[in-house]
Amino acid sequence: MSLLTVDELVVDHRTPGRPAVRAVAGASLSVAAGEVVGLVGESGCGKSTLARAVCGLTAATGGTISFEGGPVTRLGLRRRDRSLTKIQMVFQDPYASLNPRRRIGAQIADGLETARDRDTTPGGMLERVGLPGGMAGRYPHEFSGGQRQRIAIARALAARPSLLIGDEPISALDASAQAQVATLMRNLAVESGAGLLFISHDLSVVRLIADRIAVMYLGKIVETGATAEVWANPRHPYTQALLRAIPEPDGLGRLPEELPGDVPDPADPPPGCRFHPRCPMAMDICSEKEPDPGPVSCWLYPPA
Amino acid sequence: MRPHSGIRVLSRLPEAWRQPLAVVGGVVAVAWLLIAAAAPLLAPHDPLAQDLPRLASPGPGHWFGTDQLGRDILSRIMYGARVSIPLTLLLVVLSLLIGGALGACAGYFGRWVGEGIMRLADLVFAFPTVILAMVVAAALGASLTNAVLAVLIVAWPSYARVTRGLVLGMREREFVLSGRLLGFSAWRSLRVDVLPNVTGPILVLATLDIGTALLLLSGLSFLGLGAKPPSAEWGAMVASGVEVFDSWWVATFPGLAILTVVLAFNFLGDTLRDALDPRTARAIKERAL
Repeated sequence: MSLLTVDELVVDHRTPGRPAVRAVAGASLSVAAGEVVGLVGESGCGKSTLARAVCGLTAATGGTISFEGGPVTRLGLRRRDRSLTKIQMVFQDPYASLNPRRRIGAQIADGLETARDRDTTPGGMLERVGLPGGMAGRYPHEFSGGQRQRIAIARALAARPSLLIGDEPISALDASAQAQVATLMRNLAVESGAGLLFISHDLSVVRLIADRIAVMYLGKIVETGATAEVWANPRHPYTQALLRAIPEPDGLGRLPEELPGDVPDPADPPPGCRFHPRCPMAMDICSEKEPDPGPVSCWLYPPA
Repeated sequence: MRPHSGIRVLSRLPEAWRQPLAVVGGVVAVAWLLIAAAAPLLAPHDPLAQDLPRLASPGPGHWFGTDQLGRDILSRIMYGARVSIPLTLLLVVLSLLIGGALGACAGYFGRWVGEGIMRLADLVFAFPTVILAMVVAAALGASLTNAVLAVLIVAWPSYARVTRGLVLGMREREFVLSGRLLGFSAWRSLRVDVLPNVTGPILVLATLDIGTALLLLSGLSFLGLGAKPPSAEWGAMVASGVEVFDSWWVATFPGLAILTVVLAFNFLGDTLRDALDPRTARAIKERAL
């Protein structure tokens, strides 16, 4: 049984006086224990909204999210349910993810308290993420972005999550720190037996750490599959375009191909397949009917 | 603004506090606090004794002159500091606590409680401050306590509004959400993550507000809605001076006392604001170099 199952999730962002923006429009996804799933897609495609909904930070308009067999409820003013503290998240901005007024040791201790862990010290958690344990008495401003992200990982892991979510945790970091932090997240999650949902728009890093990859476009998951398989044989035209857009450092002088056009407004999505206005292989049916969800959601690969 | 700015304040304070206005504000404010504390030792006369010549102009023996009842104005100003300054500070602290608590609840918990609190604040904002304070003070009856209460009623909404805005912005910050994800109750999240990060700007507001509150409090006494004779209160002293306009010193010196305190605390508030804002702090530093 999978750890997390997201089924036909719909999330609308409502602003009074404007039409609702459907950020996630029927996305299905699952993460098994000990599995690393990479969720990729362009900016604004709904990746972060999906992650927030899984944590209960955003209310789902439709569909279901179940975690360890129970539903995920919206986090309101009440204390988060103890079973749901097994889902922890590492956020994007390392400069906003730690309380500037508290020592990092105290913030990691909050995580240990959540897990009722009296044996581990904050210093011990810091050592697990590759920082000296003696730094627990310092304040966040004394650390670099990469170090802060490690501290945020230590705090999340201290709560002994069975599902760790990284919401673009590396996109604000230096290139040199990106692979390090991503690999660290993978190793620590896998070591502790937790599932990891890693959201990124950086495909080369996702390829490095993910067992399975899910490609999201305009609120829908268009293709899922084992990372190596998707990499070797991308089937959805959008996945193919994403992969072609990665620069290849092989010295052959090939320039990455750009995917023409922009992501349409999620408040007013195109009819039929959401990708058809930008798709080089669009057929008549693409603008009329939406393809069925599946490993590949595309009319080029009709369900058998 | 980087989130750690608050922490670095201590190391930034020196540059901001070395500005001339900051020094003047600090010296004047401290001087007034000392005068208030040591008035019985410093005052040359009994502030209530009516044994000097009436309406004597400033000169040796009574440097600020005497009033129409033969009381030494310098001594009365010194004793007046013991009335006005502690009451003003108390007033500002109370309105900060009340307005801050209501604003924080409105910002964090939102919904209809927050809406209710903010509409109440808007109601108070809709009236001109002095008029509303006069109405309240007059309705409660003229006394210094009621004047404080009246100013409190008109002063809390600005704290509520500022606190609410700051809390609203802070509530969605990622470290606050992280705390909630770890299972913090709303109360703990507010206390541990939100409030410590919004105190800076609210303290600036409070410091700037000290001058306004003193002015309003003396204003009510000036209008006869605050301190009662014969107590030495600056606003009431200005009022009695207006009756004897030829003897300019009777009204001028207590007026100057109010002016200096208001200016001093405004300078201090400006300084605190500059010190807390990393951009101005940097600008001051660069100018100093």
